Amino acid sequence: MTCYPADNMYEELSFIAYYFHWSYQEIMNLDHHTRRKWCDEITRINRKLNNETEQKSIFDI
Amino acid sequence: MSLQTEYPFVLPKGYVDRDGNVHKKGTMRLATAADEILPMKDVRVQQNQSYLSIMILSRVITELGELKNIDARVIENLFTPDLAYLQDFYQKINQVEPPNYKFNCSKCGHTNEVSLDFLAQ
Repeated sequence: MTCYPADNMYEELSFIAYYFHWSYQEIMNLDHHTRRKWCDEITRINRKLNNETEQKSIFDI
Repeated sequence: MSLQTEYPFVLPKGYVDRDGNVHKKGTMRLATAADEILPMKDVRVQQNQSYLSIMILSRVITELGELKNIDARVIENLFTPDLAYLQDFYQKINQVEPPNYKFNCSKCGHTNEVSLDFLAQ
């Protein structure tokens, strides 16, 4: 029986914990699909923020 | 649309309890990180890696016939075809859509998309 790759799993758990500060229990009890979905959402938010920062003029306050 | 988290199954043979009753219908829920990480601390898994699937299945099977409690002992006593069926079933319901990566061919410049499935054996 193949499990979810452990390295990827730890990476995803840490990623969500770092950005959302959810508890250990909450993150550990997300199913694989939901956990991946939240990782995608965090990535999307970061991309959007980075893009906005790049486009912002240095004169914008 | 909400995500389906529990899946019904019917064992090919069925679990036979001490009184001779056969339990075939059950439910399995989606696995979590805890289901795959916590059993690694168990001595039985550390001694024999193949015991991991027994431990995981005992966590994710929420119902089996009329049984009140589903533990590792129940899974250990399943017939081989039933255990194989459940391992396959676990694999199917937990299949995460593999990520797709887009890249441009350095020769023709055409954009290609490939799927990288880390779970494929």
